[in-house]
Amino acid sequence: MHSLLSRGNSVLAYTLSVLVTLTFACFLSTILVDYRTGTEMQTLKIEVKNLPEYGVSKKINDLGHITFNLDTDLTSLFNWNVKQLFVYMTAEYETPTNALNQVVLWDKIILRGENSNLRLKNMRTKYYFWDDGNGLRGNKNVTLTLSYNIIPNVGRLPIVGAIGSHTFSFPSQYTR
Amino acid sequence: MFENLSIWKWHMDFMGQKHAEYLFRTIITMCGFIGFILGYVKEQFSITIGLTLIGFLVSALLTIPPWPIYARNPLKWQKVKKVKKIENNLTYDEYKEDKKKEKKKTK
Amino acid sequence: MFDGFLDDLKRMNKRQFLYQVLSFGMIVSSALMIWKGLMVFTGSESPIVVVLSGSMEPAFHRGDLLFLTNYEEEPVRVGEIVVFKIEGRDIPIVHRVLKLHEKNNGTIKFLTKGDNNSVDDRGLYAPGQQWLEKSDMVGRARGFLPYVGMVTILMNEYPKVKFAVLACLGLYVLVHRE
Repeated sequence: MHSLLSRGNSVLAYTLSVLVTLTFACFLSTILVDYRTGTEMQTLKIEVKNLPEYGVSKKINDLGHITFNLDTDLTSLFNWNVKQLFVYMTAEYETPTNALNQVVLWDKIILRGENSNLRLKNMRTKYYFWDDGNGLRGNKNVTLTLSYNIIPNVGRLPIVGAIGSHTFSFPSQYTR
Repeated sequence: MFENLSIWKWHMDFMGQKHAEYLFRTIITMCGFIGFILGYVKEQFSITIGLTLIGFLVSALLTIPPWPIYARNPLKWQKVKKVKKIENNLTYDEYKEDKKKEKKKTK
Repeated sequence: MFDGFLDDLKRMNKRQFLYQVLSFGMIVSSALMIWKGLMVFTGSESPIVVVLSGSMEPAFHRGDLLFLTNYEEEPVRVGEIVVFKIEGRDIPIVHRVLKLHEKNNGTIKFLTKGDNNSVDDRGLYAPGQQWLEKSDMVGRARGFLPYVGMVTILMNEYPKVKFAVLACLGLYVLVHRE
């Protein structure tokens, strides 16, 4: 504390330790928050095609085409330690060769302050619904779920599944 | 060259250092505390960080430069006492030198 | 300030100097021990990574710090942020799992994509590689701390800064006495 440099050093060090404490307190203040919320989904058009996945392999795979409605209000998830939500819709199903298949069909980044009340009507999927083989045609049990990854200012990165899902089946005929 | 700047003594006295330390700790802690509550209420963590940084700037301005306030309690040094004359008017170093010379002679 | 350092150095004798060298070694080795301990604890070969690219913006920016775990028994699922290595690339990539297929015998293959990229990662993988496997994975992001990794980015991009910082730290530890 006797010279300019040592005073600057101690003021800076003290500020840093206060900032670290506050950040940790912020992390602690949101550690027990329950981030679950509900969602409703419907599928409208459901088709399945059988095509080679160009640029990936020469194998002919099943390609699903669906459009969907999605209703969910994520506004309540935001608090002072949530910077961003990464919302994504997953199709989950079983095929004879694979015990579990998960394909993300649609996702959205919602920053804090942006509209987080989602009312999507007749949406097309953002990503292609390619199966790893030919397991989509006639598949009776494809489940759509909505999950979100919470990106905090500081702290854990939890992935939470919304309550509610939608199960649909693919037609037993390929669409040409 | 610093004689002209004698008001700007770069060093604080001991009381000044104590006061400066107390001052910046209080300012930064208060700003952090108020910022935390305000940020929590307004749901905006950037308020907390911002207010703490404002506290940092204010306290840096108030306590880093050696303001005259921190030089009010200069140390009171004891007056210089007159040095006792050593035997034969020799200083200690001269006395040692003489001893060495004596040793050489005896050899 | 520097004079102070040199004065201290002059005042030291050989034994004191060796003691300082030893305590410096102690600091280095305990840092290494903490790192190795974290590796055991998290199961990941690199438990803390610095985000080096903007491909996950706006979630992660350059210089943010991620804490990883890589527990065998925890299954990989879609939507998780994984850190993986690609053959022929030194730097691990931090991206999100987009598609995942688990065979009946439990082996998995998955495809990733950066949140800020418009296409999936097949273009980033090694030539001919279509999927990632569990062995490619370094870890999964579990914790997030912003900005702190900026220091390492600065040090890596300007090697002079790195040497200056290391030299200052080393000199300080060697010379500073409690």
